[in-house]
Formats: sequence, C-alpha cells, structure tokens
Amino acid sequence: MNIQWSDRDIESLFAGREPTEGDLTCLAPMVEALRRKAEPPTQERVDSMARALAMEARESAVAVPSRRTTKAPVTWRRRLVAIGGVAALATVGVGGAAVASNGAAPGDVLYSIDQAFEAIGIGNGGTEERIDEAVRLCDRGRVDQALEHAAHAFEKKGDEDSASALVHAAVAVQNQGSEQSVEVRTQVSEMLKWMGSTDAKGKDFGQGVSERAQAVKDTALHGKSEDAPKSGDAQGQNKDDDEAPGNSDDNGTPGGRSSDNPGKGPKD
Amino acid sequence: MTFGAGFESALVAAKAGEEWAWAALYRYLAGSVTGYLRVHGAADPDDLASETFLQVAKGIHSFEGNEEEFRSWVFVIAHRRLIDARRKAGRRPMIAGSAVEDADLYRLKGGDVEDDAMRRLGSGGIEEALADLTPDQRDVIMLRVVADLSVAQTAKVMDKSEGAIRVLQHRAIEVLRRRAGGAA
Repeated sequence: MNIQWSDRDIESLFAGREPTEGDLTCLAPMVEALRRKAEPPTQERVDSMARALAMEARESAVAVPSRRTTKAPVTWRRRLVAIGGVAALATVGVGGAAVASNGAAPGDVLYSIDQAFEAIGIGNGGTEERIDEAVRLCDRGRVDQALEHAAHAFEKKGDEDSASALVHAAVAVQNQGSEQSVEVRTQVSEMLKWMGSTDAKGKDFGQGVSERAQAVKDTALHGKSEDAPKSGDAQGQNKDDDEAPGNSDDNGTPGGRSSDNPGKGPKD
Repeated sequence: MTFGAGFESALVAAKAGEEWAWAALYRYLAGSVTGYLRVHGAADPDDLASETFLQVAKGIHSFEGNEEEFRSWVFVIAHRRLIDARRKAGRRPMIAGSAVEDADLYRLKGGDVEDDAMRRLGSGGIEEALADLTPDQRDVIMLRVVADLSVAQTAKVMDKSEGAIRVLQHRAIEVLRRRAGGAA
C-alpha cells in the first residue's frame, strides 16, 4: 500500500470539506451518511435530561481530591506492563519497592504504576525512556509497534514532523505483515539507537528522523533502500549521496483538530 | 462541533448542579454519543446514551480539563457502556481491551449483534462497507466521523497512540475506497 493521502486530505474528508485528493471524493457520500447518524436531541429530551443530570450532579457533590482522574491514558505504560510487568518497570528505573511505597490498592497495578511514574517524572516528556522502550519492542520483533511507540514519543514532545514520518514507516512495515524482513528490523533498530545517541537537535534531528524513516518505508515497500543514512552520522546526512532523499509523501498538517482549526460547523 | 467559549463556565455550573449547564452540555454531545452507539449496534442507543450522561454527572466533580478532554472523557464512558451492554446481552465473555473481544465479536457470522444492526441501518451500503473493516478500523471511523473526535481524542478513547490512530484511519480509508470502486 502506498500512502496516497495526506493527513490534511483525510481531515477534509471527515469534516465534510472537499479533499484536495480526488480519489477520496468517492467516500464523501458515505461519510455524510454516517454523520447524519448524530441527530440532535429534541428540546423536550434536553429539558428532561438536564433536570435529571443536574440532580445527579448535586447528589454526587462530595469532597474529592483535586487530582485529575481523566488524564490521557498513557498507552506506553500499559504496553510496558504487558511486556514484562514489574520486571519491565525495573528496566526503566522504577523498582518494585518504589511501586509498593506509593501505597496503592492491592491489584491496582496500573494505578500504582501511574503514581510511581509521576513521582519520578516519567510520563512528562520522557522521550529517552520511550525510545529505549521502542528499541526493546524492536528487539522483540514488534517493529511496527516500535515505530508507533517512537511516533507517540515525538507527538508528546511536539515534533509532529518526526512523528508523521515514523507513522508512515509503521504503515509500510505493517503491510509486510508476518513477512517483516530482517533488513527492516535492522534499519529500525539502528534508527532508534541513533535517536537515543545523536547530538543532533532541532531541524537536523528532524531531518535525520525523516530520512531514516523514509529508508525504512522504502525497504518495507520495495525490499531495498539505497539511501539509508549511516547510523553513525549524527547529522543524519547520507555520506554517500549529497542529495538527501526527500519524503515523497505529503505529511500535511498533523492530524486532529484544535480550537484554531475551524473544522466543521455545528450540526444544529 | 465545538462548545465554544462558554465551556469553562458551563463546567463550573454543571458541578454546582445548574440545569442550564447540563442542558448545554447534553445538547452539545447527546447527538454524537447516541449516533455513535447507534452505528455501533447498541440495542437501545437512547437508553445507553442516557446511562452515559448519568455517569458523566456522577463523575463530574472529579473531572478537570478543557472541552476537548471533556469530549474524550464522555466517549470513553460511552464506549465502555457499549461494551458492558454487549456483555449483559449474553455474548461470549470478553476481556476489555483484549484482542479476543474484538475478534470474536466482529467475526461472528449470522446473528452477530453489530452485523444485524448494520443491516437494519439501511444506509445505502454503509453497513457492508464498514463490515469490511477490522474492529479497530471501524471504531476509528465511527469515532472520527460520527462522534466528531479528533485524532488525539480518538486515541484517548481507544487507548492507543495518535500514530496508531493515523495508521488505522489510513488503512480504513484504503479499504473503503477500494470498495467504493475508486481507481487504484
């Protein structure tokens, strides 16, 4: 599968706007039919529910700790536990003692983990730890998951370009399915290790990620990449080719909507 | 659809049990929540949506966040209510979040609750198109289109990374486009 559509095109399709990529316009009727399933409630329904919900809220008003219970689920924590439980925690520096000392309820493993991670600052931009985890995923043969995990780390860091390049590589690798090649795995592993060790920053780092991710994608799709940067090159430049391989895909704008992006208008 | 500039004040008032605030919050999300549950094959989407909002009201005092986070939170609750309803309907025991849940539920042939609901929708082939998707791909499409969630919000509901959501939507669109007969 070649990724033909940018994130921008997909957002346009979902928002009911005309995608710039003509191939997506055939899906517009289906998208519109799905959106019509979200029918606004009647005023009578709104009034009756508002009374019931307001009463429920008043009755539920109890003193609760002012901690957020709706923080975004940090997927990598659950994956870490899935890989090796408490032993996996130890590999990122959180020993069993630290977990136990948080006084979590027995059996509430993930809550304990949350507390433990928050106590030592993991989960608040620990990109290096996430890259290490991605390396371990890759070593276990979960190459596409490793790429997704790394993409997530860069999303959290605000580096959307790197995240997007890694996502595209993950898609290509996923399409290999059980045929994921040793070469792809090696490339991904080297890329991740470069990420963890390079001194490159900012634009140079992003370029290095994009080049390496593109090389992974090319190998996954075509079985061979002629432009893979050498892993030891901190600047991400290919010493054998002065012309850096560009990312042929239009990464477009990052996915998702923000309050600055008009998106669709109200339905009612 | 966005709530607008008054979300913060509405949230404060909702915690205080003000009816106008709950009317505004309900009007803001009820259509999307009910539509999402309906497309997912809930036997009684209105009832399930009501349960969802009641749970929101019960937990409102513990919620802290902006409009986007509130929307994500509501759909996490709706999604879980859907899973609970399926279990009570007597389907095979499922472990939340496991591959067993999705694989067994969506690959059943004949009499599967979601396939039956899809056929009843009569939505001009939508049900057939969505049936070609994997469960995760279907969830992404429904959350993005019917629930009107962003990539970030969808990631929170499905407990996946944003990258994983983008991968899923790319693949879903490819499948749907192929069915729609677009040129390769």
